[in-house]
Amino acid sequence: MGLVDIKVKVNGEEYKLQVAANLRLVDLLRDKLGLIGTKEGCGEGECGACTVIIDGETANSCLVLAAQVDGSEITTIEALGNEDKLHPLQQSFIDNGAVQCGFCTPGMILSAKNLLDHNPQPSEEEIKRGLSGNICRCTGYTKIIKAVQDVAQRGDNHGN
Amino acid sequence: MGTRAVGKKVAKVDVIDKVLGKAIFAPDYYLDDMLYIKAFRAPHPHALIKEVDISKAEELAGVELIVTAKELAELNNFGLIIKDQEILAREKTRSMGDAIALIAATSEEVARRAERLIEVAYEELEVIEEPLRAMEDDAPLIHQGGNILCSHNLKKGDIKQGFAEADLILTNEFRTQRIEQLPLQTEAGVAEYDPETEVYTIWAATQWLHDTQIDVAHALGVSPSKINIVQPIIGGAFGKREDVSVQIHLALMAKLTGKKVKQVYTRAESMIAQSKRHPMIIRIKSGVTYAGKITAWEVEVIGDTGAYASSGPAVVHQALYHSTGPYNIDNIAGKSYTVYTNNTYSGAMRGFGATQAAFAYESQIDILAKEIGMDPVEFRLKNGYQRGSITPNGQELTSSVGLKETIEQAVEASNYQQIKVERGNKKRGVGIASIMFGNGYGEGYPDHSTCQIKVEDDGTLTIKTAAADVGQGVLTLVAQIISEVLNYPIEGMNFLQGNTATMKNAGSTSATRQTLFTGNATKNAAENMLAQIHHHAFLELGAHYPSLEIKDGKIIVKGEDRGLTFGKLARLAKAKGQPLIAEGSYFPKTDVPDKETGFSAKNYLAYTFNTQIAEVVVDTETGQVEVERIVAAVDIGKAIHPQNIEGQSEGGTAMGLGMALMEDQIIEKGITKNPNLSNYLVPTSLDMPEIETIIVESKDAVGPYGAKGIGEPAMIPTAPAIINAIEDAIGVRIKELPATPEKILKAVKSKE
Repeated sequence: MGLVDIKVKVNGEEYKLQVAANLRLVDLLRDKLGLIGTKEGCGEGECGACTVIIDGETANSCLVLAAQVDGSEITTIEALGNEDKLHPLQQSFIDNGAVQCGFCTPGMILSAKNLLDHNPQPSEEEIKRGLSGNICRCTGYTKIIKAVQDVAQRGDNHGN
Repeated sequence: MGTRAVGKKVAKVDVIDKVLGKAIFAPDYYLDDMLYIKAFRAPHPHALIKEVDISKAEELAGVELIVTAKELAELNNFGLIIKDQEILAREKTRSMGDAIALIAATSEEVARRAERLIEVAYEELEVIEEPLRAMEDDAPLIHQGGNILCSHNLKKGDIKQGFAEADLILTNEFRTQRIEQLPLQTEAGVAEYDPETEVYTIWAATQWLHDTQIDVAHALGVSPSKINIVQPIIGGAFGKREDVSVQIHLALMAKLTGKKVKQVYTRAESMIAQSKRHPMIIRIKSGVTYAGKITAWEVEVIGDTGAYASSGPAVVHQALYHSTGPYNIDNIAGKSYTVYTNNTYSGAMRGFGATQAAFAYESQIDILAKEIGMDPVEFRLKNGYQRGSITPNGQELTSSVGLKETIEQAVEASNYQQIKVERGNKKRGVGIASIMFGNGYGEGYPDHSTCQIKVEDDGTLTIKTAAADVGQGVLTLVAQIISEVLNYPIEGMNFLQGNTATMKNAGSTSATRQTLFTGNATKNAAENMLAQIHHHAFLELGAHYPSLEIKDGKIIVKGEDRGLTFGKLARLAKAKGQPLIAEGSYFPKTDVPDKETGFSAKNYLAYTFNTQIAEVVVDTETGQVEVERIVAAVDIGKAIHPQNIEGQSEGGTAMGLGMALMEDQIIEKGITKNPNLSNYLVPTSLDMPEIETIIVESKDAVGPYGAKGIGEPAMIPTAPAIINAIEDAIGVRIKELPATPEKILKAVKSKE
């Protein structure tokens, strides 16, 4: 199996890595870099739990090879906030009760962030479309949509 | 005001880690030098295993061990109710996905490659797809002892007399589909074995720590004290985490390899090898008078439990016991059958049979109302339960029956009357469904919960409860109740990770029981703690309890400038050899139903009611149904956390919408055709209607602060409400779920 040299920026940090040509980005993030906030729910790009932001666009990291992100910048949930200062979306998800089991939450928050980065004042329909690649089996989406609406209304999508 | 939190919106106690991506779910455990475990699974649903050749796979570099049933001759079967599942298939496969060999390898990739090198010679047998075929005399036996696993009866009044009193008798058959619970996290875990103590430690999510512990111990033939199950954060459950999945395989391989091991199911593996919602055939024959009185109700339920019993015997009879809905009916006769087939086994899923039953009875109720020319709301109000009603099991409802309030308030909040009257657009429709659901296992099954609270030296509280928080928020409810009793802030409470070695049994997160059971156990523990605090504070402060105020972790003598902190009191009490530790438990009694009639004077402790009204638009060109709005009115006795109740209502409604319109695990000749999320469709954000939840609080006598559970009843009325709305919109009655566009178009065509 071939090895590939890649240079990638993850959450602001530069990595020079040698990776297997068939290594998926989700495995690079979880197994090699310890970024376990990126979840795998289906392995075929249908559930969105492994959503990350690559160069300003969301992607299912289970469908991307690590070798493909050479030269890219990647944002995972770990970059968004911390215990002392949550990202406004994280706070809004808490306030609105938009989290149940939490397995979809990192991917859902990243999709929401990317939506608001591109479209700070989305309509309800645009929010629904922006989150439609992320399956949540617990909440019925209602409170997630409300959480995103609240942040949009406050013009509050700070963070990186 | 103050810190007492019952009835308030508080942040879930485990939510910070979840939004930060720091919550540790089972797949997130990485142990040093661990091996990856993979099961080789049967491609044939029903076949004799002639020969298993693992030689090529064993030669692969990185493969440490492969075991088959031959090496496991001394181990036992497992299973929730009946031990009919083999750790590895011995002589034959009974369903696609039965494990035949276990591989331990240095990486997941090597394990996958080894899986492809295992060769098995099979002799294929007749595959039984349909329970009706399984019930025939000449059907081959899937297990010794017959394909009908069990049957149950229900008898009340005089069914013949009931039909004699009817002006109209109608019979309908309803069918529900096979549904995947689809928690977003697939089955996963890690394990290690300590040869010195002979203790297996398994980190894997379960809805019931102590039940998993005993199932694993039995299978391995060791004492439960040698099995320690630790609860990671749980990535959804919905019934799917009641059965053992990775636990036994992991324990076994940890011991045999002497190393730490990890296993994560693929989505396809989870769908093919782990439980489903029972597909059911439900036949109802009802008698009704033109005045709108239901005089007789005869029902037959056939549940396809697939290759293994799992919870099947309980699920199918629960469908039977719930098959008359929340309606006063004097004359009832029913029978249910739990039947083996070669399909992927069925087990628990939200509603546990009552969901399937509600689709049938709420469809039938609508059909009856239409036939006698009565409005469906009026018909339900006329026949609906009130306090004093007698259930089909003969239980008199002595407290908290908020059914009529749920109907009236749902109608009020919806566009029910408007859509019924205006009828401008013929393709718009509105449908109603009302349900009831028993809380707890009931039926005399031993059912209890426990909770322990300790005041630490620094005044914080350490809470131990084995209740599984699957995301619904039971730990938050525990925190609220403690804060209510002790007037103590939730921020000062620490919850220990669920662990069978250090915690007592709290029962399962199922049967909509945690609010009632762990809620009461917690209240009991907190009140016990309050008494200890008063006792020691009295001794220290010389003030009797009416003159003490307890607030925010302090005990103050009212009107005086002196008091104690919880921390100080804990240290003083500990010095006296009486540490501040309080235990609480709740162990109520119910009655075992009579075998012939199902009679049980106290079948369940409490009943939750839920009425939903669905507003839909149907496109008769494409068969597409758009659900525009759903109003849910839930009688949960008392809302301890209103926002979390809305969360359950909305999530349950989404699941019910999936059941109504799209979800269907298709199995042909025992083989799942759609083991993936591209072809097994679940609701996304785009499918969701506006949902309004109305909380009806008809305080219950037994629940904490009058509360009843909501988890399962949240989803039960949704599918029939939508199906009834489709009928209202286009005059087409769908009796077999899901109501896909194809099915609707076909029904529209055959009507024309």
